[in-house]
Amino acid sequence: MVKDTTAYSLTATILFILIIVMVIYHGNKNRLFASGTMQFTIENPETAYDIWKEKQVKGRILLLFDSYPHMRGFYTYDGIPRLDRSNLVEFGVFQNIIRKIYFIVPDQDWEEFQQQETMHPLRKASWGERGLYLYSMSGIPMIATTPSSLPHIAEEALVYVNDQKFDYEKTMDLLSRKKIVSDIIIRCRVKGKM
Amino acid sequence: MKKNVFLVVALFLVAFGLRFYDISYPNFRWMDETGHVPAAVHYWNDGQFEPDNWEHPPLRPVILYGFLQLFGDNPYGWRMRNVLFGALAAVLTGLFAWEISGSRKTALMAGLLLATDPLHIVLSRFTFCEVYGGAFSLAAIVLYIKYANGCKKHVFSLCAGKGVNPASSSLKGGNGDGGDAACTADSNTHNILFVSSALFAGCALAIKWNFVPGWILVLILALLLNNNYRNFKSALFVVSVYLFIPLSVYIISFYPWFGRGYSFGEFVEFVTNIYYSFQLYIPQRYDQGLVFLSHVSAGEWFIRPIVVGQGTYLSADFGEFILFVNNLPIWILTIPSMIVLSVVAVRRKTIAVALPALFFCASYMLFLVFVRRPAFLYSTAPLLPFAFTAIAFMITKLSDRYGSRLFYAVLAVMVSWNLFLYPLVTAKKVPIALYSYIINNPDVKLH
Repeated sequence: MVKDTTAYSLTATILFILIIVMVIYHGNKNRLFASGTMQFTIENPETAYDIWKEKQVKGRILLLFDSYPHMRGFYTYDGIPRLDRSNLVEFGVFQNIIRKIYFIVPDQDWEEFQQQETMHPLRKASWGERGLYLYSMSGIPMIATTPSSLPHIAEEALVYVNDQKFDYEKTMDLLSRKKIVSDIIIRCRVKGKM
Repeated sequence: MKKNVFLVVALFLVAFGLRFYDISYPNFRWMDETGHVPAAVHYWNDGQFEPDNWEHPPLRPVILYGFLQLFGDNPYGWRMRNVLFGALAAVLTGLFAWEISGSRKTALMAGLLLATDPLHIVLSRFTFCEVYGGAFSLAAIVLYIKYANGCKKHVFSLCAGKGVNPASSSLKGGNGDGGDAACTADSNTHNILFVSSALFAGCALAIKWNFVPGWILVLILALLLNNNYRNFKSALFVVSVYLFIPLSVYIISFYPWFGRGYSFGEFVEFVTNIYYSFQLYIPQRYDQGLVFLSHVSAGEWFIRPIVVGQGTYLSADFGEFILFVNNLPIWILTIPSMIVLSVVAVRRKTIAVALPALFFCASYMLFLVFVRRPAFLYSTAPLLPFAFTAIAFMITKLSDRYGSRLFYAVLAVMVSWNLFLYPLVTAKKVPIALYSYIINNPDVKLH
């Protein structure tokens, strides 16, 4: 039996460090990437999910170049929801493909975006003037920002571009300038109104 | 010794019986159960919080998942966690009162008041986290006091029943030199009590942030004990054990969440978001059908009658109700008792007697001063052990002066009153005429 208090102190400290190492390892292990860089053009948002699923990506950051994501959440959840064209993002979150979202708002729309009643900002992001953490029902970190304020992202990200909202070529140029690498880039050319 | 064991067993049986009786009714998921039960499965399988709130730490769904595995997806699986921990909370209240007062009478009254309290019973029959979170927090406090009581030199004046003269020690404690780390080095058993206390404090933290004040208070008391803060080795022991173990439990409860690919930096980001999200909680953001919304101020809890819940009129004469009540005839004694306790503590120059008041104030201040979100009645559950200990202490002292008959008479009246309310609050078929002065009160909010 341990009698020296120093041994207790050391044990508690080592336990704490071990647990941190363990959860970090657990998180890293569950982040899955596709090999190389692939670009896809789709016509229905929900097709993006099929691509992510097929490429077996998991636990990823999503750069969402689109309108305000459909993050209603599942207060009435009791089982797996159905994927449709209005809930791609929340379905991706639900299936643990997406763990964090950078939601890109055009610079010229930023002021107007902040006035939207549907948006509940939690706090300002520490890295930029135009960076806001938004409330979501699932609690997923969702950061609204503009192309000019988008920070460099150290890991490969999933990219989804709605080319009705963002110019695709300019978006690719932005990623290049910010040194952001992606393994799956999806360009959505939606026919008709969403 | 036998009497003590009998007291513990009797308290547990009474509390368990009142919580367990007819637990399968209603046989559908009621109120928060509709969110808590699927969230338990969702969190365990996928590390996701929905449809429960993501702001609360996730030991709640982990424990519930265990009970669902044990009893199945039925009323027993949903509710046995609270039944069990609710009953244990009554025992722990008795032990807490015993450690504070050294009086079996005080322990009996405090334990019985919690065992039969209408609000605690109702909360123990559904999935409210204040019940098991409160039990974990109280276990941490009781274990800490046992640890402190076992020290050679201590700042507490301890139980008369243990042969320690309450007047013999002082707030300064020991010799005041803090040089020999007496409390931390002389007994391995006592150190294990402290470690166990830290473990339970961690469990409470990993259920709700409401238990932070109790955790911090124990940490401060442990540093003050024998002037541990003056001795590097002792201070290191106290701080490392009481910081790192609870934080380890807190972090490990997020293990399924980390399985979604999160990094430790994102964990810190997430916890920060939780804090900010709590600041957004205002009455307007809640479902306006929520019964608790009619009373959102913690200032009312111990001074004004609060009755909210759900009622069904079966006929003109009978009805059944699930009610959340603050049982004012007893609860109103809380503040005066806390004052009496504090005065006694100051007169005796002992901190031990003041502990119920200290833990009560630390937790209550959180709602009165620091928390901006609405303070719903169910948040009182973790305060009740300290309130009832203070009340029991005061009545025991009065009975010491005016005769023990007074104690038993008051105890009988209080418990009878609680039992009278039992069928009213737990969805039993009750004659409306018998309770009309409660049900028909214009301030009562029923849905």
